[in-house]
Amino acid sequence: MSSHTAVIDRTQVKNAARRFAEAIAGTPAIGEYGAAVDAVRADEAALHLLQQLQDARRALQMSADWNNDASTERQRLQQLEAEVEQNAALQRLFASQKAMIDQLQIINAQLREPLGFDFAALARPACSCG
Amino acid sequence: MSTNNGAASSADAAAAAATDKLKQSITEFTATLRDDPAVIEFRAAEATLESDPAFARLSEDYNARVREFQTRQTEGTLTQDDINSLRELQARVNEHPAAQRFIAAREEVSALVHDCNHEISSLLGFDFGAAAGPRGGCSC
Repeated sequence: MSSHTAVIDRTQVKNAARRFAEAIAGTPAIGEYGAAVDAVRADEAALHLLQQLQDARRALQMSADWNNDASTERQRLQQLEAEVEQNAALQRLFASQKAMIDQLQIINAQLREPLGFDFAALARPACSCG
Repeated sequence: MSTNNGAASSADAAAAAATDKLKQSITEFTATLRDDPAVIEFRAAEATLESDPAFARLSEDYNARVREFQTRQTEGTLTQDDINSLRELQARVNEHPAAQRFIAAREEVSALVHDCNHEISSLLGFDFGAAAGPRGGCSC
């Protein structure tokens, strides 16, 4: 066996990948998600509520991990979720995030047919199976 | 009203242009990937593996043994012999030449896909593979 390993020029593949990314970035779903993220960043009340929601989820998870009675944490989380439902900026963010992920999954399905393999699944870090 | 209609048709035209650009870029990206030696080898290795009758029998035996193993595990009747037997069969599966070729090809194509995903994700500002992939579990 030769010790020489052929170096494959992948400039074309990388350029095509970049053009693909640019085209994704130009779709309305991605544009709307970016705008929703910017709107939340500019809205202190929405940011604060989002932070509280994340803290409450963590607190509930920790309580469950330690097998503690989590009723207080659960009640707090439900209260915050109700507030989030009334917050227009956060509702826009979550709706746009869902639409974006739906769109990305459709795009990945469009890659799967010509490639013969699932691009996104292969892009994941290796797991410990097998 | 006509201003609203004008704005709507302009947005529709922009969305249609974005969809066309996306379709073209998917065609270009997948065609370029399909021409890459790593993808060519992966597809060939996969086809060889799938059409190898000896490997298919070995794989069926292995899957049947795994099911048996799980049943015995649930029933609490699993023995060291069962574990050794399954390990031996797993080694035979992994050592099969068509499987070895496929595993090596999959590693090469995974490295290429990781590189491409890195390019895409850098530009988008989030991990494309993680967002576009199947929910939960791994890709095995």
